Amino acid sequence: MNLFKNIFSISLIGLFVLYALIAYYKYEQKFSSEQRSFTLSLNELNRYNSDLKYNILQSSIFAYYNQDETTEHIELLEKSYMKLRDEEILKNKNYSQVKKSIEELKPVLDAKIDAIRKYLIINAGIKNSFIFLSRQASKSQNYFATNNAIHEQINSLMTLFSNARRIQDESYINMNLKVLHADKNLTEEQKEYITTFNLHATYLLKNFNQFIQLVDNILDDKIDSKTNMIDKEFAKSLQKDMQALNYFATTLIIVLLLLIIIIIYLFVKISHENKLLKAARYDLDYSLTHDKLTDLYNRNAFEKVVLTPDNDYTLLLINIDKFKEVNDLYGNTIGNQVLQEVSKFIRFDSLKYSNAKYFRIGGDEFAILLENMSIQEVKNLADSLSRSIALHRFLISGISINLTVSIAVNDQHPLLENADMALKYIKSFPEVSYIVFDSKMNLLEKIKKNIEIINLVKEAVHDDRVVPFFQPILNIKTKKIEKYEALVRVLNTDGSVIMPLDFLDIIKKTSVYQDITRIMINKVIAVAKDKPYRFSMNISMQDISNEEFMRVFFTQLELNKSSNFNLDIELLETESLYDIAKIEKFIADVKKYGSKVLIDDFGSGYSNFSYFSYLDIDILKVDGSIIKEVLKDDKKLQILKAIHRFAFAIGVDTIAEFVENRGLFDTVEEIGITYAQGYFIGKPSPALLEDDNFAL
Amino acid sequence: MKYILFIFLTLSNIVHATEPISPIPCKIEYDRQKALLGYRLFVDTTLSSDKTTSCLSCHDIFQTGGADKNVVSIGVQNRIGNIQSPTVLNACYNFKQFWNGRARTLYEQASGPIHNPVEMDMNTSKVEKRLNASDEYRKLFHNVYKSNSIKFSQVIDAIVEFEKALTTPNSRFDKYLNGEDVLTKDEIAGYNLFKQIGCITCHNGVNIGGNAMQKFGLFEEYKNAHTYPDLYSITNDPVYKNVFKVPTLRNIAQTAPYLHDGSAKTLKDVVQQMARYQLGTKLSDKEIDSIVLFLKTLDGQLPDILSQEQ
Repeated sequence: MNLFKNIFSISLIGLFVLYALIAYYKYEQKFSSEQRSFTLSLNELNRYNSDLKYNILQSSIFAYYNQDETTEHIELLEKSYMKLRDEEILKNKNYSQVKKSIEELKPVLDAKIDAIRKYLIINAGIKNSFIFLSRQASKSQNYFATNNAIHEQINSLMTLFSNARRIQDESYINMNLKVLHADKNLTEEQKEYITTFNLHATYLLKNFNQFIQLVDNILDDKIDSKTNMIDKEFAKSLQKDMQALNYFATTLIIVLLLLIIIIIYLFVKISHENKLLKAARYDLDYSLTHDKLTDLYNRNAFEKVVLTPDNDYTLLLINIDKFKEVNDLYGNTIGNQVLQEVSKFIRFDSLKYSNAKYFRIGGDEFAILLENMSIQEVKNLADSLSRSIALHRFLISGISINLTVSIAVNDQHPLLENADMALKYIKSFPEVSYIVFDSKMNLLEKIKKNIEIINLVKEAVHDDRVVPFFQPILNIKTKKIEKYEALVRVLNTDGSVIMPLDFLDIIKKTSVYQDITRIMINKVIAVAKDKPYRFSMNISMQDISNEEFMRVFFTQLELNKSSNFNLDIELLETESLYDIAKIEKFIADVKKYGSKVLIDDFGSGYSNFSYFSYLDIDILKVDGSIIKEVLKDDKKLQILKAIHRFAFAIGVDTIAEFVENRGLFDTVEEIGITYAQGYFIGKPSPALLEDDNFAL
Repeated sequence: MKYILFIFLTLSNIVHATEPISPIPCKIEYDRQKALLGYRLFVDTTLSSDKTTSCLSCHDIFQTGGADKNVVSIGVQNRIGNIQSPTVLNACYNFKQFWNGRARTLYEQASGPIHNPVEMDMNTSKVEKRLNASDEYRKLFHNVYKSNSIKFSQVIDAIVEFEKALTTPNSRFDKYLNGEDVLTKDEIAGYNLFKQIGCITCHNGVNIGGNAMQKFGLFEEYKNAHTYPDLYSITNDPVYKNVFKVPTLRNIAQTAPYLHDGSAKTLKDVVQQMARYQLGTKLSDKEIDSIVLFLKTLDGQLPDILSQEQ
């Protein structure tokens, strides 16, 4: 999360810097193009100005001069000024000083253009006067006699004029100079000559001074110094701007470098974290599939491996014999070391099977999983392994320990379960060290289990742990407990209760069954003695066919004949085939002892209405499977009602069992059932209820 | 540096080696379609308030060399103008327009007479309204400017384009400048005199004038009959009293009467006047005839566009 935040903020800064760089680049481009443009305009202005000066200079000297270029250059000068004034860069306030100077240039420029205009006007007159005077001077001989003093005057004036003209110096000509003097005795022609000469001479005297000043003004103008100043000011402002740009660029580069450093740092950090994560993940994966103690694969890994489809595995399940004793004798630390040594030994000893996988399945159980091997080969391995372990001395913390192992070999699915079974099987034969699983072992196992149960019950009989539990039966009309059903239970040594379902069927085939019957009859009668209740016991129709059972049963009744008790029989149908005569005789016999006879589980599989036609039945107990459903299933309700009507019609009482709640109770009461039995009334219990009255 | 140059120049021949007059280029660039539209507008009296006056009324390009035969221009309702109309021919070579140079460009000039109450007496919106009322003009303008309604700026643009086309190349003098042997000895002598006596000082360049302002009455004050709009009227600088644009001498033989006040009726008159006021001298009849001979070589060829049928 933090990483994402970092990446996000770096990207954000990066984008910002990128944007700034683009902006910088664009600004820089615009700036330099504006700067170039400005410099160009300024240079242009300077160029046209000097061109113009050159034009003026030429026009002042040449007699015949084409002024087109002069006017053109004036126009260009004005235009270049406008261009300079409108330069884009001057809109920037950093260049306000430059802008001001350019604005100050305007009157200078206007003054210059005005000066040129004035110059051009005077220039025409000056030029024409020079031309005229030189023409006139050359004609003086035609008008005046050779020795006339006028020639002297003309010559000295002309020398001054031509010197002034040549050297462009106004000091040659000043107003104190005298023009030609016209005597009274001159001819009209001579007078006119002198008048026109003086007209031009006067013009020169009056204007040459101004002419030279104008030329000097134009040539020595202030535009140059002004543009120089503008250039300097511009350079200064430019430098400032450049510096700001440089700062900006430097800052950007620093930020960029920092970003790169941060990115490198993050990159290193991430790769480091990745490495740690990978290692942690590897550890986790490893611990998920490996046993910490022995470093072998664990049971998890085994189950995963076995899951792969179409495998051809053979399993060796190895169990250390009497490992518990090692633990008890030397403690867990040594025990664990033993396990480690054994695991190493197993691996080492089967090294040649390169495709073997090793597992620790349980505490002292190891497994070798081999692929594509014949049973014979695996058997050989099991044989050699068990032998070499038996021969090996495990030296742990200076203690020498001898161990033997039992090995089960199995290639049939389920691999582990079958091997386990084989291993249990082999334990019964201490001299055998390995065995190959056989499917027959399943049956043997069952028998073994049955024997265990038989032995368990046998022991219980011996230790007097066979007891009756009593479940109360309520008369629905009187709301009084009138009966108890006695149910057989075997108590474990730890006091836990074993239900008949777990042992009765197995026991029935043995003599222990008779023992239980005897015990039950005696114990029930002992409780029932002198009690105002009727007690009932379950006897199956098969039992009646069992002569040995019958003998024991009646013997016990006979033995307790003197006691005052009410014992009823609940007849249980388990098979459809039975000897009807024997049952008739049994009912007759038992009734001699004051017993009543019930048909148990009526309405279940084998029950038959025809019983009632030839057997002397007193009570009918409706099967729990009907009672349980009456609230939910209307058909079951109708069956219950029909059974009730039938029982009522033939004068037989009814018991509803499995009455587990108030709703069921109300229903059976409403239908008119005589008795109710079930958790709602009371659970089976070793003792009778203290109060007969049943409070709803 | 400046002085070295001075000395060098003054010691060398004072006469510039190259000719101070250049010939009119034979080929000129202009938008023919625009110029033809301008031609049409130039001759159309629609552009005057009472529909009596067109540009042509005072700038007769066919009869009087693009100038006015009247002393001063006569506008709408016979209103009298205040100055002699200068020629429109080769006006594009003038550095400024009008006698006192108040218009820097032909564009500025062209709208002047249209607005002038004693000339055509119109205004921008009136011109637009009139022209837009004409389907034919709308079509013509659309062809040239691709816009649906006619703008005054387009009207001026078209007229200016036409004026740009009004150049008169191939005068005999231009041919002479280009090295053709077309002038007589006397004509060449006239040209040399023109230079020698100083006319060339002001009348030079491609337009033989039109590139400078000059005071009328350099050596002797010129007494005007009444006030004319001179440079002083714009600048208020007394130095510029009676200062006018030096007019072109091209087609000068066609454009009588002469001078800003139309006071000189013939070439002889005007040459004499100029010699007196501008050169401070009196020319002999022989000299005047010689210069007039030269001036007559300045008649150029009629502009191409005028020989076109619209």
